[in-house]
Amino acid sequence: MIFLTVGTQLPFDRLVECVDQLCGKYPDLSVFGQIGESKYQPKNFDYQTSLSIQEFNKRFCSAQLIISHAGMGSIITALSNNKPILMMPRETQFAEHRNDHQLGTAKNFSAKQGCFVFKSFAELELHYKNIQRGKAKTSQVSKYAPEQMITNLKQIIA
Amino acid sequence: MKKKVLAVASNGGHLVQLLRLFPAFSEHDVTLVSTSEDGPDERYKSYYMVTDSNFDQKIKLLKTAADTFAVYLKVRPDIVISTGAAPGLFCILYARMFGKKAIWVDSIANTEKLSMAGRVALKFTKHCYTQWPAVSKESGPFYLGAVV
Repeated sequence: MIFLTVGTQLPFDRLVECVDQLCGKYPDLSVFGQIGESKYQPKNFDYQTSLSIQEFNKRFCSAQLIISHAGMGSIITALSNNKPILMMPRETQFAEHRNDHQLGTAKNFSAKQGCFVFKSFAELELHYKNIQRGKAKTSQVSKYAPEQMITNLKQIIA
Repeated sequence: MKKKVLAVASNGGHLVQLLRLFPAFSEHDVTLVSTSEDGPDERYKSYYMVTDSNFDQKIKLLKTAADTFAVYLKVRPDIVISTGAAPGLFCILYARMFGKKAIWVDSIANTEKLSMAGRVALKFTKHCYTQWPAVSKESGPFYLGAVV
């Protein structure tokens, strides 16, 4: 099972269309999507506009692979649940966000194990095939921020 | 000494980051403020929902400002901590208005410069932090580590 999420705020038609195309090409794929107020309606997988936090967590945890926008919620949740994640950064040239910070996020997090960036259907398909061949190692990330940061913050709060 | 901490983050990535900092304030009296109808989980005994908005939505921003102010007055925190975005910034401003400590941890999503809200927070609090060393400056924002 693959879980697709575009995040809580904005739709992301380009991403939803890429995943729909992937499902069309690989009919055995099982995908569930949280797609926001998408203009593009997927033909090849089940979806909802939004999910409650509990439903979101359930879908997330039962998936083997996450496909998402390059949003921190999706990335951190994938890392801390030990799931590989394929992410597409939102770009202002397509009116997908207010600025291009997701390009920077994607660039910086692509260095982490289990995080892969794509900007087209071809790149998505390539990563998908690599993962199918078992080439995705995931990072081990704990539930909380590193001890040093927690200690620093504790001192500031005290 | 136990303090009243108001922890504020919009739903989604901001909230995920705030929850990763939980051990830093778990021994205090924490009230969580976010923008989803359901609170994240049972660890947060006190939860308030406020209106979500971004800096392009002027009317909704006013609603967010009013909602957060009502919560602020109810809780009267000793400290505000936020990982963004709009609701957190308002609470930071209220804390400073009442002479309280306010901690802004800019989202790890901002790898090259502070967010717009972060740049405003920087003007009001010395506790303005970035999660990327390259974004930090001697005059602030400071680098304190990253949530992941």
